[in-house]
Amino acid sequence: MSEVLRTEQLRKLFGGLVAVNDVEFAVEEGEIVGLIGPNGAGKTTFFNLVSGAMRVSSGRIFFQGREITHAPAYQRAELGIGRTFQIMKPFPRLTVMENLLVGAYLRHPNRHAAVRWAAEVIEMMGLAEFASASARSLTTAGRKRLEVARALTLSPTLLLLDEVVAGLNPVEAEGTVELIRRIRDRGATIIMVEHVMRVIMGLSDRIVVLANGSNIAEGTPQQVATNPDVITAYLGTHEGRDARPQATWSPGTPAGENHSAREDTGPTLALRRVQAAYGDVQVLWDVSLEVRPGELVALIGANGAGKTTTLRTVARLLRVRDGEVQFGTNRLDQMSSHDVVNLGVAMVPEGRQLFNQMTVEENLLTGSSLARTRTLRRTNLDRVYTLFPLLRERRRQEASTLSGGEQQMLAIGRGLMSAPRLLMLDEPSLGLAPTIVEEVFRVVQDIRREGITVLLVEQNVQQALRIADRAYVIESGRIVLEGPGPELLQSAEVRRAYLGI
Amino acid sequence: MVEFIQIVVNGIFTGGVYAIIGIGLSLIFGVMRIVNFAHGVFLVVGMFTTLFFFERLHVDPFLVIPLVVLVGGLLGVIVERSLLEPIARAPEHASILMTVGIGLVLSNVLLFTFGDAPQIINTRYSTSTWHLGPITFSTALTISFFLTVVVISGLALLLGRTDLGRAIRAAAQNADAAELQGINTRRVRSLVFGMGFALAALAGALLLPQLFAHPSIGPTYTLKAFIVTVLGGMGNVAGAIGGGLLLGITESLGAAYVSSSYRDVFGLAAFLLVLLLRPAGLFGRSRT
Amino acid sequence: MPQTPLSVSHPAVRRGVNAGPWSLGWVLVVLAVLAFYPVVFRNFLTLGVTIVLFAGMATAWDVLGGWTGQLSLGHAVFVGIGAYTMALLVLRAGVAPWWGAMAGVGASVVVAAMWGAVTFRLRGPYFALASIAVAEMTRIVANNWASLTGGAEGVSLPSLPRFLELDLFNRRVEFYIALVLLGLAVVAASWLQRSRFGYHLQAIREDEDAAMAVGINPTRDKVLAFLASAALTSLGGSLYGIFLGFFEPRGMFSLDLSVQLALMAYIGGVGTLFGPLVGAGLLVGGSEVLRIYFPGKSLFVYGLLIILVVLFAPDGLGTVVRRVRRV
Repeated sequence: MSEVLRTEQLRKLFGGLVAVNDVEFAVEEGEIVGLIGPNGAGKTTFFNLVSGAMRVSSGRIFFQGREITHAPAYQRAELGIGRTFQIMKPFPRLTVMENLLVGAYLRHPNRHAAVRWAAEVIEMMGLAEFASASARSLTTAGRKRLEVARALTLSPTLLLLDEVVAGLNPVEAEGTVELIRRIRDRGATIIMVEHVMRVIMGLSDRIVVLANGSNIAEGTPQQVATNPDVITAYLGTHEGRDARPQATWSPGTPAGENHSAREDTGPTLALRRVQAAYGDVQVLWDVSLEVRPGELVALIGANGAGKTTTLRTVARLLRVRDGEVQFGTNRLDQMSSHDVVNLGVAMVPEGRQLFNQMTVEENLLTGSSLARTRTLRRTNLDRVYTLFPLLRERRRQEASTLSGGEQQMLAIGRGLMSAPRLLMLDEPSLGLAPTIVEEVFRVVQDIRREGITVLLVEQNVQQALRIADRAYVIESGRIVLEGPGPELLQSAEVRRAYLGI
Repeated sequence: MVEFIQIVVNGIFTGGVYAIIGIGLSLIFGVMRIVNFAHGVFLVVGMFTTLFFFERLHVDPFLVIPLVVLVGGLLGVIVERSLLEPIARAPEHASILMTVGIGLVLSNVLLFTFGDAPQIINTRYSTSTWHLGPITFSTALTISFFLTVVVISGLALLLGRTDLGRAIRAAAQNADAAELQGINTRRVRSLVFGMGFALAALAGALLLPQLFAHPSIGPTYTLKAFIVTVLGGMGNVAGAIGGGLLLGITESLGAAYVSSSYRDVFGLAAFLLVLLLRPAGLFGRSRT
Repeated sequence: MPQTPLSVSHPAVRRGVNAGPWSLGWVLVVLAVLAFYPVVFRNFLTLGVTIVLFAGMATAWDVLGGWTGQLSLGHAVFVGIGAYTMALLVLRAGVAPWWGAMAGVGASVVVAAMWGAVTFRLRGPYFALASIAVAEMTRIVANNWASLTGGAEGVSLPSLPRFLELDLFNRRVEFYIALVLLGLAVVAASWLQRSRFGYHLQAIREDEDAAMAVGINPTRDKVLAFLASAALTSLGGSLYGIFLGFFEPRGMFSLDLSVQLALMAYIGGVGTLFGPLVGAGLLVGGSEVLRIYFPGKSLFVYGLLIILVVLFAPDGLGTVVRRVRRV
């Protein structure tokens, strides 16, 4: 067997952030290699470096023994590296057949031969009946297939598949898995990134795990799934229990007993059979959940399962395709975002989403943009500064100059400035150092202790389940499990949802 | 030396008005991601509104400025609501074509209404001057410049210190996050377009004493607005002030020392160079 | 990858290749019908020449703007180069106008190559902005370099040699030359619709990153498209110069002219064979009608139409016809 791809000390920086960190990686001919890792691990960036869509910051890339580190993307395609895009990029106004002809011409300059080859690919991918349909008229499943088909027209030696299964229904997914096997049997080498663990664990000969840009583990699916480092990367640390400062509220107490006094004060958030989609890509299929006043509810699930989408749907950043979102007696699904905030539902989005060129205090002040909260502005500002004394010190500093942890605190503080009754937190501990993660979880508990209901989306499952009254597990856009946090902590189901075994 | 200072002073006076045009364009681009090809025509609308009020009401042109700004703002909001909001999600070229179309319609409406003859405004101080040592100042331009400084300072206060200003900047930096703070970004977009139109109309009124008004001069000022914003960095309001002054001085110096007929080439050349070499603008930070 | 034989007979597969409702046959039919225009509308020859000539130049613009998706608002540069190179060679060197037009094509191609090489790394509105700047600078230089161009006073063509025994100032002759040019441009477009190079351009238009991922070099192909577009526009410019007989830089290199070419293509539908022709007919015809009621040159109709098209038919009026037909 010969080596198809090798990377040496491959590194990519975005500003100060290390997205890919000295990754050493080799693939043998005929292998299917699965590339997995939690959100933001650098998987897609790695694909972009190998395919030439992004320039490397340092390190080298070899393809079939030949250095391609600085070759432009189109040359790599000519050499035989085919790829799909996670955010699908069909040529929307061309027909499916024409989409494939573009690549077919690369290998077959003669028109007749090109058409023949494109037709072969189209039949192999089961797209023949859509040949004359425009690419934009295809369903998600169709487009994902088209992505693969277009890469196949290059007769690639190496095929990079980025999330070609996620978002498909089980039948479609099974079909795609079958297809990937057939492609490999025809002689292609495959590297795939995939969030659907069942699929990647079943297909891959070998799995490489990235976390925070670094290669942390490598081996057979079985080896990787039982590797403690991998489990920590996916489910978070166990260390939280002892590190957490002792609070008045003890972690073991069920929420109902502690918060019964407040239970009838606030409205309940209820989602009933909610469906939502990004364009044609349906993400939520049938989500029903409830967050009762005073509760801290965690929503957990693998990457791409629909956690963020659920929050965005409640905040009305995304249209509700079907179903109801109710907050007390108000139907949120008919409102605009800023009206939802006005009702007392605030969201702290993933990745902070601060106003980077504004100062800390200005960021907080925008949080109280509503007339309802403007009068309480000074009080709320003081409360936030008491909760985060560091922010008071830095209040004249531009948000972009803060550290990651401080930015997260600011984002939470900004959310609190609208005096919410329900606060939705999306991945508040993502990308933070362990000690800061502790701090974030302490703050989340402080907030609920002030009587604010919390809906928490978190990749640090262990920690989230420990502090949550109840939790929902979401998988492929459906709620699959519900129960008290500490109980789910022991559940094998949760582990299965994340690691696919 | 005196001549040089005189030229620079003239450049600064014109540059201040250019800055006002550029700030409006930059605000619109920042919040709406629209490159407004009708911006210069908005300025011409301001010129003719001033002329209209001046001739009908016989009031000093500088006194009708509040009215002109109001008309501009209203027109801006109407245009935004009726023509731009419906295509907010359309591909980029749609907004370019739309604003080109808006510009053509507006300038031709002006042509039908006010005719093809260049018009000029005559006040008692149109030709009067005052002196500071050896430097001569046109009275009309001095008033213009004074108003420019007042308006730009006011804008700086509005954007920097008020809820509205923060809402505008928030919407420009991250529209989704702004909605999550309860900011009605749709209303902010209308408002910003109204402000942009009003600022361009104001610039028209301020330039009127030194120029002939004609319905067809819009594109010239659209170009100047582009130059100013590209020099300062698209969407960068503070940069637009620098860009405006730089363009004013460059034009003034180029016209005096190289050739007045090539006056506009200097700005365009700088524009192309900045576009190619420093796309974030001379005063911009590169965004990551 | 080993290839197993599969049938190419699936009817949908065939239809998928011959996409687009118009074929080369349609091109010939449309051109043949247009050829009767001078016979039928004997008294509206000037209007006819204007429509066909602008349709040709708009189709040429569309090679870059529609098929490749690069919005140029500076194409008047090539109209001007075509007209001026031809006229100056005729006046100063006694060169025949058709050779002058060829020289204009050469000059335009050189200019386009430099222009494209420098500005094609800009994407989106920045490329459009740069194109305006280039065109405006060219106009100012042409206006002021009087020793070469005659400056603001303009250039007039008093007499021209006969072309194959034909009088070039005869509107009927001009009409057929313009028709040949339009034919050339439309045939080029129909080739783009289904050739390898054409697919490259369309792929670049649809998604540049995805195009690179299937082996396309976007910068090279964009420049090639620009050269072809410039050459055809330049030919139109030479004819436009003869048609006008007298012209000056202010008109020949104007932003208005650049914008008109782009709008014609957009109103009819970019990246279609006959969209620019439909657009030219509507706009030239429309403003002609308007001129009768509102004396003084007017682009009002252009503006109104483009607003309506962007609002209600974002893919151009040509596609509305197609959609209606399908229903």
